[in-house]
Amino acid sequence: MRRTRVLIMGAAGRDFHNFNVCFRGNRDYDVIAFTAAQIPDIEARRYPTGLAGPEYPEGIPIYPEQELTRLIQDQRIDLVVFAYSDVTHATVMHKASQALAAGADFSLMGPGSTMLAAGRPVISVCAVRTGVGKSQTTRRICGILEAMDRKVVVVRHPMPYGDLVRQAVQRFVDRSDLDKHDCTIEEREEYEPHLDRGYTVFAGVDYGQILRRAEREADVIVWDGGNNDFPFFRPDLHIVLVDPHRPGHELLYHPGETNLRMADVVVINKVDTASPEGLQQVRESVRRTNPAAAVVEAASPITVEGWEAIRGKRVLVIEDGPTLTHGEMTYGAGVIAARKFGAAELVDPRAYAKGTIADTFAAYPGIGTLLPAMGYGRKQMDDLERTVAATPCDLVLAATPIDLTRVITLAKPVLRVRYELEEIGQPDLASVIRERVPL
Amino acid sequence: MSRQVVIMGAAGRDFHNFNVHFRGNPDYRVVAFTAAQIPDIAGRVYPPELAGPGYPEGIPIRSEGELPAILASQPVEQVVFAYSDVSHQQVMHAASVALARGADFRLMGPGTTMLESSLPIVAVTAVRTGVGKSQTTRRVASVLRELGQRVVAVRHPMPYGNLLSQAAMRFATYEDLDRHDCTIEEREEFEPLLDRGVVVYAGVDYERILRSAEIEADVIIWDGGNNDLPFYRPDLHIVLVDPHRPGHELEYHPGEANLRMADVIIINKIETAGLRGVEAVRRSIAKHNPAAVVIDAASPIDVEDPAVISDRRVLVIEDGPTLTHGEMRYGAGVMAAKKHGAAALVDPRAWAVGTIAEAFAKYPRTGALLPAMGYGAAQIRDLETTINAVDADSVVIATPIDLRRLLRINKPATRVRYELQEIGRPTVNDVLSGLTKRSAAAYLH
Repeated sequence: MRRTRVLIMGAAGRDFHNFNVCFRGNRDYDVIAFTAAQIPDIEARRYPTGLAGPEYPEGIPIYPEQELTRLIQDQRIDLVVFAYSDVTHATVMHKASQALAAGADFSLMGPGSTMLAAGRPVISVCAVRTGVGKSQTTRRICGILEAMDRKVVVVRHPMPYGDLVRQAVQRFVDRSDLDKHDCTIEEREEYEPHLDRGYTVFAGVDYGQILRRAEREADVIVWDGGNNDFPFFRPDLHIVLVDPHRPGHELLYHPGETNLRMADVVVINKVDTASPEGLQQVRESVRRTNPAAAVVEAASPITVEGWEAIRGKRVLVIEDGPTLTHGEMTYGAGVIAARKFGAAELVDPRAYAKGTIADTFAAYPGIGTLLPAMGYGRKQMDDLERTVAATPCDLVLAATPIDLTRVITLAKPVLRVRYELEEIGQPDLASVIRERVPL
Repeated sequence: MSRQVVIMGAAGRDFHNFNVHFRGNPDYRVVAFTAAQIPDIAGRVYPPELAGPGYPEGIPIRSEGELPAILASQPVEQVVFAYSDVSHQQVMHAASVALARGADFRLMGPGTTMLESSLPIVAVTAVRTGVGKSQTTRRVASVLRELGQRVVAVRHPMPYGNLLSQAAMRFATYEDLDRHDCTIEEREEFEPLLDRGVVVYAGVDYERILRSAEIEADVIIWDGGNNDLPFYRPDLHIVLVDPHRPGHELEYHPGEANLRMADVIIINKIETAGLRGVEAVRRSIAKHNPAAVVIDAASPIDVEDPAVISDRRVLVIEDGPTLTHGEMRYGAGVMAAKKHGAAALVDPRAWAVGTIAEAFAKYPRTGALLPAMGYGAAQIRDLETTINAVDADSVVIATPIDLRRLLRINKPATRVRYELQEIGRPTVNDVLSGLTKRSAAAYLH
């Protein structure tokens, strides 16, 4: 029988995972191409033979997503697999319509065919959108497990932007590992806070290998989700964050709605800053969609060391880039801190933006008067540095999860804005974990 | 080992996908169909004679609401979504339900589901229900006959009765409609073609239908259903878009795929839509299928006896599915009432009985008119009782068939019909006169 010719639409993450667990070494399928969206600089590359397996001696080419229709027609593709996240349902269906119109089937792969079973308990932290607060929730979960005397290993959803073979399995124990692996700002934002607390972090491309390594050194594996994707490992407790600042979004994005429906625990974050109507709408949506889930309400209060210095100053706010660009947020913790601590003015950096930073503003015109930390590579970090230097302000409020001063030189005084998860009332995460996870 | 599959459908596309891809396929085992949209289909069985080897009991058809329970009770690996005219949002809610229960979710495209014919195929489909496929199919049939071609129409399935006896139905006369116990919806589709001497096929098994149709035709017209893709690979694919509902061409499944695949796009109802709507759909076409030939068209109404309407309080009866599935709030009947100066449109809700009352409850946005919902004898009776109870002076019948052949109306009545009329050039004749069998090799994969 002729092998089914497959094209996988992705963004250098879920797509590679689906390939690794379902298509690698599978004689029924021949994966002809990947397409890439969302991540700059991944296009025009290949998924290397070292990862693709001996059936693909040349590796598998990665094309820009805009070439989808042409690829389906020229390469006689039978099946298009859609494999990336935090896209509207409408967007998924536009891609589906394109695939169908070009003659192919269109498929979304679910947990049954893509989740790996672990030999250790897995707690997963996922969300219905990007930017709801997975990172602080993951930290909170790790803290609870540590207090229970469990050895915790964090496995992070992939963010492979560089040499895929070298990044197949990455293990981070301290900050020097970040430099060793040439980590981007986005990667540092995710890993550093865990390393600072003494947890080992794994990430990479081949999550089968990663799982086997992590199992060896962990009592519990915490799956630290990416975007609004569902976990790559089958969770014993699936925790999903929803956002009362964006009520309704929990049912409008892929695969966030899937997460909501799968959740064992739903955390409604940011209840302290959301409108009562937004909160109530999200509560009702959760109850209707997944009535069996435990619902935890939480806040993510901001803390700024030396906050007294903010009052009356002209402040440049730097926020976590992906939350703004992919998550459709127009501001984050930095702007909230500037308001709370009485800044005189938020300085608009647009007029001073350099290089790739200017490109980001052009691509996402909805971003407010702040500077998104887009650090996918050295060039972007340099552009960020030059933009800050050119912007007239008294003070920089850095609301990225990492210490920016470690990767760039900032010409202005810097205060860091951090936020941590605090459950409000009962149930809280510790009680849910004790009740539901076989530790 | 074979993979377990559930096919979500509405007694049409689902059975076709099964027949062409899953029947006799050892890689898969279809454990259930689920049914939406069509009343009275759930709880039945896709019969073993149609299901083929390996299904001695046939395949159970369950209601779509049971999907989560089905997925929880057995290890289903794949959910195939196989019905049409649903918003993109709704498809993705269904996908989310399937994924959350662990399954893969699949939409099947032309490569796996379209059959090849030895004859030229002209397909007429749309981006939504109710854009005017029926009058376009009639127009295409007339033009092809003028060009000296023997034409057979094959209609998208509407199998509401005994699936086995309906597997491959051929209609040449009105007696054939009675013999096959056709519902109002089926008559609406078939009668106007029979009136023009065009033989119509429909049923469940479209491979069998195709081979029969090929024997008696020079050209086969695929008469689409809802906004679904054709089951036969078209040599000319004509797709209707609706300037009354601009934007919908990009918001419904699989209408957007039709838009992108079309060789010819007809913007229908231009005369009643308003310039802004027309311009909006033109922009969609230019952006998503710039290579398509675009035909502008109107569907003017033709009223048998306007005196029955003028200054009377009229009850308007419209084509049910257009209103209920197509999200239209009115149709040709209401337009005729306005054009000919009816004193009032009588809201029939207060007199609605049985299944008609249920339809109003389910589709509360239906306007002051009566949807012709005739899926079975009981519904036809309810329709008759409701019409005769309504306090109106006269009745405007805007369904494609003559309702008076099925039920007795106790008031003066007139029919409203509409036909497709192209505006300027190109015309349907322009795009059909060069029709040849497109090389399957160039198109197939």
